[in-house]
Amino acid sequence: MADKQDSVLGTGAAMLTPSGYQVRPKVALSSCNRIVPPAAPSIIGQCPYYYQPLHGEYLETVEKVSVSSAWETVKAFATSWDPWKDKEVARRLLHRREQLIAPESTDSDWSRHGNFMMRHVGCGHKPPSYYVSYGYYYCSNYGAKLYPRLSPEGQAWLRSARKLLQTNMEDGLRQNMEHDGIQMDSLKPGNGSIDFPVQRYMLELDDNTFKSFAFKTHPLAYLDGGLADLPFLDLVKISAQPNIQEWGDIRTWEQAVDSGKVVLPHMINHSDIDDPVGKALGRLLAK
Amino acid sequence: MLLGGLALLAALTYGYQSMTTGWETVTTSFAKGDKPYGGGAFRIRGDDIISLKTAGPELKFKPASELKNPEVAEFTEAWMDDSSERLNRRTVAFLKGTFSGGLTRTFQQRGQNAVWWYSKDWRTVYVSTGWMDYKVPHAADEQAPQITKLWRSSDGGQNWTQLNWQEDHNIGQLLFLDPQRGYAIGWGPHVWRTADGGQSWREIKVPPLANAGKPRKTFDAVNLGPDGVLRVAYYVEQLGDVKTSSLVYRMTWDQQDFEQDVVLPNQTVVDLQSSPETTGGYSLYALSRLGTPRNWDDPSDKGYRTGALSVWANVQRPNVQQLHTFDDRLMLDGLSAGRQGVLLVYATDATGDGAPADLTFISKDSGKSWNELNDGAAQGGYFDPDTNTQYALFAYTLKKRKL
Repeated sequence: MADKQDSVLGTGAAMLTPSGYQVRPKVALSSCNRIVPPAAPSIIGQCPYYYQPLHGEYLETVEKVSVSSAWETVKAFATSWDPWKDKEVARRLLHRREQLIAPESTDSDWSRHGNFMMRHVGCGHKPPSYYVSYGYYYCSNYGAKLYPRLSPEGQAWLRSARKLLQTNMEDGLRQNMEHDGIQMDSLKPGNGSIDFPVQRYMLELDDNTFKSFAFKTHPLAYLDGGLADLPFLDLVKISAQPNIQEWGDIRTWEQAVDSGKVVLPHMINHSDIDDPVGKALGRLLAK
Repeated sequence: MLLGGLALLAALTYGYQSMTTGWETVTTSFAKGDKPYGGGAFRIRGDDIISLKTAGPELKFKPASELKNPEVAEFTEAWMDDSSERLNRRTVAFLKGTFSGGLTRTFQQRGQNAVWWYSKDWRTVYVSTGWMDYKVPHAADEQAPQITKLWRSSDGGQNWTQLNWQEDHNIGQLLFLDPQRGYAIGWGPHVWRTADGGQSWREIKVPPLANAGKPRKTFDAVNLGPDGVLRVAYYVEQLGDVKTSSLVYRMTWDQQDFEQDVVLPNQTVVDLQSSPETTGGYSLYALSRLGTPRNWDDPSDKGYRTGALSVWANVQRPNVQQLHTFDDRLMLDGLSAGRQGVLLVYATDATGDGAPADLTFISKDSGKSWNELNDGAAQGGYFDPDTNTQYALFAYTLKKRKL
């Protein structure tokens, strides 16, 4: 089941041709290594853990679209994008393949996304789109905008939550190297204590399964990070962050967080005030 | 400014609330004192609560003044950075208490997995724990051994006794007819039966081809009916004339061998549930994925399968009726069957670019008509078939919904 980890890029078959034959025969090279090595502790807690924005296509997509459509565009882009099309980046990563697939690699170009690419060369597998969209883009944009607006306690929470999101991902991937199913603390109503269903070694290979797994770990990271202990005003700011589609618009942030003019006072009800943690979490999970 | 923030909070969360149709808040501080976060597999009866909770070790962070990079969190101890250490330090805990008095841990053992059974009066509780050493090196095509332990309490979880159990026998389900008589079912699959409250166990032969394949194979679903009939469901490529079908076998307490109950052609069972017993007997409901199981070696097979819900009665030679189908975009998570024709199907829609949606399909007329509800992402919950009440935990807020 598990593919052996080779020290070379892959395997090919030699082909004898007449000396006068000018057209070179094509020899397909592929390597498909499903064994996910652990990330270095030093990268966990940082947005490039998910993805290093080396690719021009990613940067162009993020920078050229209008702010109102950035999030939808990035999500769609991450699902359909073939990162191997950028030959320059592919060459750069392949030159350092050994370092990028090593356990606890501290290579400056390492990310979960790049690590996946180097373990799945020419075998038709794509890195989970989550690494680019909900991972890197959300982390680097959400954090950059929300972080300076929070109190020191709120900032500590955001740092901790970011670290725990990636710690949970590492633990899920580690479990998937050992057995079928992933033990989850976030139980789904109705299925009791049954593990998250995924075959051994297959978590990273199915986009929807990976996304579902990752989202199940989000509330745990936010809550174990200390969401419930935050000052009330931080909870309000988290709950009142603008719609993600409007993140790029600084005016929306100012309106949302610092002004009450945009809403009608009669929309306050007691349940919102009684349950600020639940509301903040609901907002964090709406992506 | 604060009032403005509050007002906006109300407005922005309005859409979220409107999706949680019918929920009533029970408390906003459920299991808040028990860290790490999690309510576990809780059960509620009046003011009383019991729960079985598996959780990782509590991870602590250095203060901002000690960080190398002020924007990157660091754990206080080196082992916290090691995934194998974190997994090895996971624990299984039994909690009991009340809404008014809070929850107390009365049992704690190392383990990454646990299952339980509790009697109707909550006096007798069985817990099995499974612990795997993630630090043991082994070949990629091998698996680390798992250590299974079995425990029993006869006083509602206050005191616990470890039962004699061979530790390399995995337990995935504990199903009891009463505090003395029950089954343990684990990898293989294997089925064991006890008639003396777990003091001694006898292995029961599994149905044909159920244990063909991997040593850690499990049944696709198991169910203990209200009359004590054990049913197991599994998929076979071929068994005699039956091809690419799921088989459901049954065994009463008096029987020593399984006998065939029904054949569910061209499908794989996800969950098998029995309705509460009435004077007319009870029904079996199977939630399935139609077609062959997913072929992971075929990249074009994305695993999309139409879901199906089938029903049959607990009679000899039952007829199976397919009640409903579910869109192939859905990942089917489970099924509950309540009184008066109440059925719930839990599913996840992870297709498309957006966040996965946790959906509940509810029928109140034995599967004739269905409502689809998007309740948002809950962090735990269960359905009480005796009262047709659904409980769900959102952060620390416990909600209930009467169906």
